[in-house]
Amino acid sequence: MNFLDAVHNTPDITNCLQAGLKALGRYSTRITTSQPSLLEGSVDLDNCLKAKYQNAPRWDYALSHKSSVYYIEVHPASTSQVKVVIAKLNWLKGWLRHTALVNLKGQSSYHWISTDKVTISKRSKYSRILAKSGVKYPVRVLHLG
Amino acid sequence: MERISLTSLGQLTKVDINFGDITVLVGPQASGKSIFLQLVKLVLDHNHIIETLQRYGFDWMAEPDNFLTLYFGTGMGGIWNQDTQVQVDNTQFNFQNILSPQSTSQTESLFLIPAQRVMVLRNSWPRPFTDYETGDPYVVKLFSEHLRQLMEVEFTSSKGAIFPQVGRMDKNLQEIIERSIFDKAKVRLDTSGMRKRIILDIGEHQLPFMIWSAGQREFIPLLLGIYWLMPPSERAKRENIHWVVVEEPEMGLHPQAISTLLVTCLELVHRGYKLVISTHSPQILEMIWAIQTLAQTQATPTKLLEIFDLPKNEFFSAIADNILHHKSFKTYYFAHQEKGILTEDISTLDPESLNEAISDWGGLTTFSTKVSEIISEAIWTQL
Repeated sequence: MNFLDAVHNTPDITNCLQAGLKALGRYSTRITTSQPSLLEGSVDLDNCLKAKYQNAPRWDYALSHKSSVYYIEVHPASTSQVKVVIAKLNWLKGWLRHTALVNLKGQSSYHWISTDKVTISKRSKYSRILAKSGVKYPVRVLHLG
Repeated sequence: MERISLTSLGQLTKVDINFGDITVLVGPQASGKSIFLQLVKLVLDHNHIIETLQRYGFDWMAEPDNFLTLYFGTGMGGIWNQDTQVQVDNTQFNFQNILSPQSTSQTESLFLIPAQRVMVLRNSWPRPFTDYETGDPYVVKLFSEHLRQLMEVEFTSSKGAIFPQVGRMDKNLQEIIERSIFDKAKVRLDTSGMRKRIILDIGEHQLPFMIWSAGQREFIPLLLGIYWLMPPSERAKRENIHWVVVEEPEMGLHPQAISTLLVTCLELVHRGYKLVISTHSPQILEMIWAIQTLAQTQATPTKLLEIFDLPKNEFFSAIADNILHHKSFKTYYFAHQEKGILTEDISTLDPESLNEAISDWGGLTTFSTKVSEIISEAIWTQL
């Protein structure tokens, strides 16, 4: 199963699939790739799931590139927000378990794009807390390999 | 020996250490790590120590304080007081008894590479045991003597080559040391000036020890110590040596060189040595934390190789597999507290722990964490 099939088979987001990086709106400029033709689509999870999971700590976006799924949270990257982002990740993982996207687990990674300056030292405990959770260290711009 | 606990030794109020295959000690300056490590050697090797001191003509005249001065160094004569108690596993260690040795084993089982290692080379050659002042620490004298014998007895057949050295260290390991520390230069024995000396051979020029980089000068005694632990031929380790202690292995080294040194340390553990390290380097705890986390998540050994940018070949894979699946790790914090210096087991190194000694690794990352918190607050309140 690929990303497009998985989205189609997940009723919560079936109608939210968009071409390329379109679902990321103004944040699409924060994603770069040397192979844009290999972008398979994106979903604005936050907006799409707002009605059904109104008060949940919803994750922002999902996109697929070269058969890898990138779950992206656009969020201020300060020390006080580490716990907030991890709470969102935990919610995302719980939600994914009940979707067809769970079958793509082996190709998935979790990324934090900072809305502004990153103020977390790579040698601080916050950096290790993030690593332990599985979320990559925050970046201003995410390059898709 | 699996555990040493003690009360009231010098500035150490209460220490309780359970050893792993790798045990790391952290703590600020003058927190007693070095005294503790010397004590471990005294506990394990007291017969060998007494025999060695006597062989070199030292006499403590049956005075325990004199012996302590000879062993720990000047000013340490009163380190053992009436309240001092040392327990090794389930047995009380009686200091008075070791001064009248029975005819028991006199072999050495612990090899200690001291923090003062750069001092053991004078005029580009290791100093003999008797070259030191009476009040210099025994462990420095002994390390120096080991290196001298290595150079004068064991390296005689190496045609002047010191690094790389054939038959001791695996070629894979030599290659990464060459890349990160010597930049393709060779270390060799030079006898052209009618006196033996260690030089760095960079092709057109031969550089004497004193003008090497600080890191290279720090690394050479460490490398010689590692060579000593890797005997030639098929033997993986020195037969009687079971413990290796390295004080502050990171001294003077760039992080890339520290990584190489850590790989070398893992190879020593892979060979069967138990390793005890004291350190002020977060990089060493990063390695321990990474190994523990990879083991907990049942990650493949290749992940450990990726951390060190190592090739995924048979040699390094065997080390990574052994370390990840069969070795144990312990980390202790020597903390200044109201009652004196006490040790705390911080082995989980859990960044989420509410105990800052654990989450900030005995203070090694406290500064980075504080910088992140304050800069975060300053920047994000403006935005």
